Amino acid sequence: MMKDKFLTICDVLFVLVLCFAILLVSMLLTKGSSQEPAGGTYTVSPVHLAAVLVSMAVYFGYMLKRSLKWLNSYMQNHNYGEDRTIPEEDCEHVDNNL
Amino acid sequence: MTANQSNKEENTSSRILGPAHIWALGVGIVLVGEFMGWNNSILRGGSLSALSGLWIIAVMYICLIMMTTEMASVMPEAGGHYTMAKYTLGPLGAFNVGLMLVFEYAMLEAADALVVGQILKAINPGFTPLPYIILALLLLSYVNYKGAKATFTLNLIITAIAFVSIMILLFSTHFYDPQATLIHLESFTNELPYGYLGLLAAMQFCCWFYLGIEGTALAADECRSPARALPVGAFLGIATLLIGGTVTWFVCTGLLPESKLGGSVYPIFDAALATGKLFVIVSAFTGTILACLASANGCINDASRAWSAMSKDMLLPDYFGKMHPKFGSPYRSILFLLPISIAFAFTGMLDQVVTFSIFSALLVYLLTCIMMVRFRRMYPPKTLKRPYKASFYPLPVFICGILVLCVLFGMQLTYSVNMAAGFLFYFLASIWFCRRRLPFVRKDEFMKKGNQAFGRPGQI
Repeated sequence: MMKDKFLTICDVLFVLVLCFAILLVSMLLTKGSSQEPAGGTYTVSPVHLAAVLVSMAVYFGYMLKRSLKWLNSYMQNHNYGEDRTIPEEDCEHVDNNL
Repeated sequence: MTANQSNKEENTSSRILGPAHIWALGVGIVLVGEFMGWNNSILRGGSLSALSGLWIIAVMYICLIMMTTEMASVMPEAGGHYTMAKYTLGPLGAFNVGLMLVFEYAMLEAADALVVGQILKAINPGFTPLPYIILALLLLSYVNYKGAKATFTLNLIITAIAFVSIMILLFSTHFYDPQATLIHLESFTNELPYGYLGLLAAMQFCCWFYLGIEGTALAADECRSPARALPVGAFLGIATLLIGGTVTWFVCTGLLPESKLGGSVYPIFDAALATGKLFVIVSAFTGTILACLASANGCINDASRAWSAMSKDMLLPDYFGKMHPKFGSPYRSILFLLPISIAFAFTGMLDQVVTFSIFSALLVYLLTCIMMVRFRRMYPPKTLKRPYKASFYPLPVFICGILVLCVLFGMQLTYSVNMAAGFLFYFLASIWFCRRRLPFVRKDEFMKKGNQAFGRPGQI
């Protein structure tokens, strides 16, 4: 029980530490370069733009596809207007009361 | 008394907010944007870009308010964007929106603390700001730990004082008298020094004037008449911020050279110093400190409640959803998120912290456009009556979506690495959620209130 609790807390901390590590590295990498545009003008860097577009497409593609798949599957299987519950095999939930 | 009667009376008694409350709630959270952060737009695109961006971004927020008001007015539970995402995108979408809101507010809180530390350092260069940053965050966390009710009242008073300090600064410049005026705008408003790309680059920091106003949707279930109170209160709030933002731009740009204003941590205070009048300097100092504290206070409240809401739905371990038995605050979430804000405040990189806060908010806005399209398809106005219906649909979706993409494009001109890192973080967090948390989500519990309120969707 204590082990489960410890693992769950570590699990969530992992996300926050991950966030901090990724963002801090990116902040340090760009520190000092985010001032006025060099040479008095902005230029669109194809490499940077492509990196942002690809990361955006991958993120939104993955997130929306997975999330909408779950929601649509639930809505198609749920029997609205009746008090019937979803069959157990569809629920696949696990109790995790700490 | 039956349970139904009791519930009905309880609901009626909790519906006490009118348009004035909604206005105060929106402006109260956002006003700090006029005291810091926005002036980076001048650094990126020049003063005329900052002014143009301020007005263009107002259009984006008007469209966003139209969408959120329509959806929030029929949502069966409080929670704003998180709840909207829950019923229109599903659990992973809701987790992402919740996480984005948490980081939007946590970063804003860190930025507020940074400014408090820096402005204290301005009084005495020998000061080390870090202890004050930590002390401010600890104190505000304690206030939130004790409960939110008194905090909101205090925030409104603080906000009113802060707004008055901007007006004192405005009138101290004698802008109405051409002979005595301290304002010199001529050299700052004659061109776009970095062209139209500079305007796009400046727009992200113009969001700072309004960031958080969309949070008025959180109060939908406490309004006497959501159909009237939400749109009237929110639109009046945007009008107030637009006027306040324009006044701030006018005074600061007129008093300070562009190079100094662009890099300032506390532009209003610097503008007050330029007037050389002690009363105005003291008033601007007080206004800046109070606005930052009020904002950080609201941010701790909002971030911890978003974290707690996700926990209650099992998107995060339910350990964090527990409320304090005496004060009713999500105390575990408050304590858990505190080190995150402190850690980012420690970096001392204000523009980067502000950028990640804006970046997270922009992703929420983009997802709101998708949510609105899904909401209209799933529950058309013919089948689901709503107190407020966004006019000219789908125009608000297009305008908001295009403007958000324009701001993101402008952001990548200077912060492409940070943006890619931000997307990477949310992507990895999504994978973590699917593997570690999705199996814990109880489908029927998660969707229960939505099923009861909406019934079967028209089109999935």
